[in-house]
Amino acid sequence: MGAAGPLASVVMKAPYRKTVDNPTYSIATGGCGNAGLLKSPFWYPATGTAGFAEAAHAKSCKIAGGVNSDNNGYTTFQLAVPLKGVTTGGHFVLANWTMTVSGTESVVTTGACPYPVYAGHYVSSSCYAYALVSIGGYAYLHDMTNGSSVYPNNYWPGMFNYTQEQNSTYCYSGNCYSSNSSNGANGGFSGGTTFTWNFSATGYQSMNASHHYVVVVNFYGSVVANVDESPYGYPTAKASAVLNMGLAGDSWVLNSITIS
Amino acid sequence: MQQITARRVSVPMSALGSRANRKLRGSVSGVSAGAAIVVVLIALTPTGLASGTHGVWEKGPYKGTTWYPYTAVYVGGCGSAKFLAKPHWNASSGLGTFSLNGTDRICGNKTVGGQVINNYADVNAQFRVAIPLHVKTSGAHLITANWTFTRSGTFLISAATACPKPTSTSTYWQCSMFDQLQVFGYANIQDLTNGSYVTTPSSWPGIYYDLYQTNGTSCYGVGCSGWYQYSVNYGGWPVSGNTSFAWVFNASAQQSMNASHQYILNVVWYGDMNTGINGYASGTVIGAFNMATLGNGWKLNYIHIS
Repeated sequence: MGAAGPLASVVMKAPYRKTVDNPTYSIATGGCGNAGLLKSPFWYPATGTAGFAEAAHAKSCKIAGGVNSDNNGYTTFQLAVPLKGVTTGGHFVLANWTMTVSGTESVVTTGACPYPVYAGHYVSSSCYAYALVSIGGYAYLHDMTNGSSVYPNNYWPGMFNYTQEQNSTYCYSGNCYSSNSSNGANGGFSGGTTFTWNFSATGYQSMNASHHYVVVVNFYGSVVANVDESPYGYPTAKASAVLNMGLAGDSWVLNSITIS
Repeated sequence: MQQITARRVSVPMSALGSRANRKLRGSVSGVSAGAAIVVVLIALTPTGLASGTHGVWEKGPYKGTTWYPYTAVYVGGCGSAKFLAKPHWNASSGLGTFSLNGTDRICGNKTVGGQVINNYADVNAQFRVAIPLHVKTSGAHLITANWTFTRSGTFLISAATACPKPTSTSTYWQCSMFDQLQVFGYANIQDLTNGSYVTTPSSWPGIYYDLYQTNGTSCYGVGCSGWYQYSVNYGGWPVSGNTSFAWVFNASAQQSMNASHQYILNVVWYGDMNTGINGYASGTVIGAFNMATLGNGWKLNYIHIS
């Protein structure tokens, strides 16, 4: 049996020893463009710092027949930070962090989306350009001993920006129909953000000093740059997305975990 | 038979083999052994073909061809996904290549929030090739694209039979290894002038291979054990070998071709190597698919328009 709680607050700060980290990534490239990691996902327990950086770019191939230039990156890091000094009873657990990040995306197209000569049977054309940059994250408090979890009272909404342009035409029965749509706007986000996940491990979710607890943190970032064209495409089209949370001082830092 | 001798036939050497080529070269102006080959071509010719139309052979170099690669990798835990050769198409030789490699190992069996970290590597590649077709006459046509596919696959899953509990209170857990290869291709003919397509009923069977082992355990009784392994080729061709096939397009009736139009043959080849190992006390998974070296690749032998 551990000591009865609640007691005075326990504040954990770096180094976060015995933290388990689990980075993953996926990179897809296609057509005219590229995508890749600018900085592989990392975690430094000595400072409580994590991050990654990725980018994707696409452009029109300008080739008859049409080409989908789909270039994407998706990166995650997952941490399980062991809690120390847990006493038996109800507790509030606060996981406070600061993120310094920049994300930008843009779509630039020119001209119309041409379609084939209508000669009595079905004809269609499509031009599509899309860019997205986003980052999100969530956390939960997990009891490794009995497998239960406590979810936070608040959530972090994340950040994203996207732009989409689409033009299409189809012809049949002697008529042609065109549609255009545009959503979002070129832009992004940058700067520092501080946030605290707040867990109420109380009532039936009260903690037990003999159990082993971890705060599990998940962050994921996406960059998407697509220029899809059939059968001809825009005269010119470019899509680009860059997410930096790992270079030039940008990162995610776990400031503290407080148990009260 | 007069029509046969009237035709101008340029025979692709790679398609017919050296023995057939020698016979044909010795009889091109007459009706001998080579005529048997030509008769086959006549039999494939659709009715309604414009009178006086000659069959057209296209073989490398495939001038005016455009091609684009697509790649993707998905990596987690102690997995590693590599392209030993990225997708590539050589328009001169008509050879398409790529080589995929995935390896995974158990590296500590750590858990994050009670979940064992998955070790996986998924690597896939494809290339799309657009080859101009030289249609010289208007009317119905039969288009044949003949390929030879030379490849080799290597698969290994190896693990300790022990499948330890991820946590002390776990009542059910599972360990697994998988080594999966999927290869397929498809083609169509696109009329760039009016946007229409001609598809083919010739379906290439592809490769769908799965080597899999799992240990699942439910400790509700005394028998905390379970073991299952299978290796299966779900269909298509063997993972290693040398095989030829052809896509045949019947561009007739409302899909008849127009000599004033611009046509391309679109071909897409796709390969995916998906490997992983999870939960075991130790182990390794290796999956490799070579379609790039040692003479391997997708070779376009010829395109015939009749």
